[in-house]
Amino acid sequence: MIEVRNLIKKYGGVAVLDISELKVEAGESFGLVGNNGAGKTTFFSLILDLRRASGGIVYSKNIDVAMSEEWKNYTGSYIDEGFLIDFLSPEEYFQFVANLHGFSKGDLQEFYDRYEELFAGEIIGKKKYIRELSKGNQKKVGIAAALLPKPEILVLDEPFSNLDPSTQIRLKNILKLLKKEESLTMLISSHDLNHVTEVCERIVILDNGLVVHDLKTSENTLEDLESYFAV
Amino acid sequence: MFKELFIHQLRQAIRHRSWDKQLATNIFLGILFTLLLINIITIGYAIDDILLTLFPDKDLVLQFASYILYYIIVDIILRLMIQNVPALTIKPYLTLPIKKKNLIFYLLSKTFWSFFPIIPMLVLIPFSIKILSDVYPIANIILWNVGLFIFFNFISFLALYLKRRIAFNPGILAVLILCFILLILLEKEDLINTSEISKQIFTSSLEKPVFNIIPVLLLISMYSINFYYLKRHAYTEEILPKRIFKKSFSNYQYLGKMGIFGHLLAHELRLISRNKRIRSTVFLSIWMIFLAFPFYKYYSPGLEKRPQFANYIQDETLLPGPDKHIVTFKVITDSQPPLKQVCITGDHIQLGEWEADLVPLQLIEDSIWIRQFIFENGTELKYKITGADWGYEALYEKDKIPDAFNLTVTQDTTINISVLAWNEDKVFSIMSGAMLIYASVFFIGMFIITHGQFMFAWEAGYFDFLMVQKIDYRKFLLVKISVLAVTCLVAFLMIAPFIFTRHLAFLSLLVALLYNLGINIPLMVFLSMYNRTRIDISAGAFSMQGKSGQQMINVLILILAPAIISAVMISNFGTEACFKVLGGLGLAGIVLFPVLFNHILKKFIAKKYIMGAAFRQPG
Repeated sequence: MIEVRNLIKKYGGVAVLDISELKVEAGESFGLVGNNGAGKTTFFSLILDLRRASGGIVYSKNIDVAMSEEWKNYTGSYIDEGFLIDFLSPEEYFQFVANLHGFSKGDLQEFYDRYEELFAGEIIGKKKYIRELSKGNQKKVGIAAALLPKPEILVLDEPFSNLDPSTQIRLKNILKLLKKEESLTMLISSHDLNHVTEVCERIVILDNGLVVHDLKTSENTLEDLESYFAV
Repeated sequence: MFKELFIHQLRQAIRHRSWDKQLATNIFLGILFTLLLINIITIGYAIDDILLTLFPDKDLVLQFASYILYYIIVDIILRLMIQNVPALTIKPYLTLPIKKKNLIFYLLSKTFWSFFPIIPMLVLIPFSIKILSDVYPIANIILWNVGLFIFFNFISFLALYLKRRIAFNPGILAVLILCFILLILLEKEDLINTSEISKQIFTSSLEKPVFNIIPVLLLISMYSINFYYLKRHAYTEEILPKRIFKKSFSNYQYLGKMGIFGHLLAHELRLISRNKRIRSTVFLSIWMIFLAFPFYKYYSPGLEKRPQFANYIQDETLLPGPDKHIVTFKVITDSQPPLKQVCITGDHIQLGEWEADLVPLQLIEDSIWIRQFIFENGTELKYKITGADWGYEALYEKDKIPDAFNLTVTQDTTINISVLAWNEDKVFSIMSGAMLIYASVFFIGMFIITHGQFMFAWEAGYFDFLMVQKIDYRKFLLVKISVLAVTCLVAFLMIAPFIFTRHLAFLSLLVALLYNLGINIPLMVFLSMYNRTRIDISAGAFSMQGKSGQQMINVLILILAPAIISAVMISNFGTEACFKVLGGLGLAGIVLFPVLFNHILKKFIAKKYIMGAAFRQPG
């Protein structure tokens, strides 16, 4: 689904990301962990063509993302607040995304019904602009908007931070369900090892821009990860 | 404790984020501000001359007093639009052991620091010294000035209170502006004479200083109203300027029928209407249109060319009658006038009071121009024939600029005037032509300058989102361009009817429209890709954040370039050719728009990474 070849991103001559080869298969749930500055956000930004790679290519369904915009049709993403149009109400924001994908009113209603639990009555019908919502609620809006177009690939950077415990659990359930029922391909980064091992079947550890571990999740994964980062 | 609060206030001003900007920007703004100040003071100092020129045989004091009320109304509208409501500044103090009433006193005292009440005083004080001191006792004048100053402070508190109580949206402001225009119309129709009321109020307060107690009482009561209102509502969310939430959820559903383009347009409209900083660009453009009216009315090129000692006769009677005569002016010329238009101008109101392009003659057959007037018996006239511009006067002898003709109306007459040639005053034509182009491009293109500058920077906050969405860049850019184009058209349609009869001014406006549409818009889109500072769009209207020398250069390119082109063109090929070339450039730009647009699109796609990277940096 996503394939990366010889991908390098340099800032001022220093490589902050250098991945020679990485493949994410369709339906795979891919977790990215690493300390601050490891290159997680940079990697996702390159996949989303938000930054220009210094070298190498990112393929999405075998098409170079920097050359074609085809990937936008089937990719949902949320990186940070920079994805929110803060002077809109959440409804207007969802409507805008739905319009861009040519969704009907019915599709949108279905979306509201489906994620009612995630919104927990704090998002819809509150007559507030997004900029007036709390950080956690803003994040919910962003993640929901990423899910709205029923993507085949979902890219989320740090989806669990800032969320309250109930929402964290709900989000995990939603992601698991999407994977099971719609074989959604997920790329998720997180600082929370618990959550990421629970949701993802494959974990990649980035360190200083390099892939240092690439493991299939098993019963021992959490312990392995904890011992790795404990150093 | 007050001392500390005031020190905080001072620090807040000194440490304001806008000061962190480049030194050059601050210096530039400082110079601009000083120039503005000097301008206002100069107006104050020359106000008697200005009034004398506009109303030669009227009492200066009365004339001045008649305008004060109008100024006050404009002042109130302006304040409602731009005066800040200090509120959030007390938030950190609310939980500290400080008495509420002290805090409120502190909050309200900020209002006295406002610059607004000082502006009118800069005109009033010089006027008082120069004119009033000859007529009224000194004590009266001082009290009058103090009274007015207190009154302008009263307006500060009034605006503050209204802004806290009533939600001012652009709609209400538009209604207020319409009311103001209505007042002027009512005065014209002699139904409500605002200037007469103004005269009565302000001359009587000059004569009887006791009336000055009224502004004092007004200020005290308005201050108390504010004070007690705040005391009852000392919560930050309650003392913020009020706004209606429901109303601003405009849904623009009708635009949805236009597909993606419509959705993007609706988004653009929300972007503009919901963010203070962006809204201010709209207001500024509207004010510019209002400024255009007096500009075209009073910008009279050729002031020094007018025959002196003009005999102003106020006479607007146009109907024939027993004591009136028909005077026909008939100009015969084999020489083609440079602007293909012949005008008459003279010291009579019907002759345009020496405006060179206000009273055109009609071409009835080849080389014969004609126009009829009806004057009262005994009217004495001075007049000249021009080619619609003081740069092109009619000549009756070679190389000799004639004096004005004299005429005393005693019977119906036809006056035949044979014009030998047209004088060409190059320097004059260049100055007046370039000035007209400069002003017209500015009035019509104001929105391009203020808004187009930051076309992409406005959306810096969520630029990444736009880039990963399924948005066709072509449509994304087209929507932005269409909004700019529509504002140019609106500005043109608003100004055009008022100057339709002014030959040269109207032509310049038309040329400016074409030039703005064809050249300036594509140019601005292109240049705006280099304005890459993230902008906080919810900041106040006068936020200087994101402004730098770059914008000044852009403005110069947009406005000065056509003025310079026209100066060069006029000096070599004449005014008409210049207007044709500039208009032609604009037309070419419009016709070639698809080609230009493809270049812009390519440029945008190439630049989007750099723009995105810059926009991710905090502003």
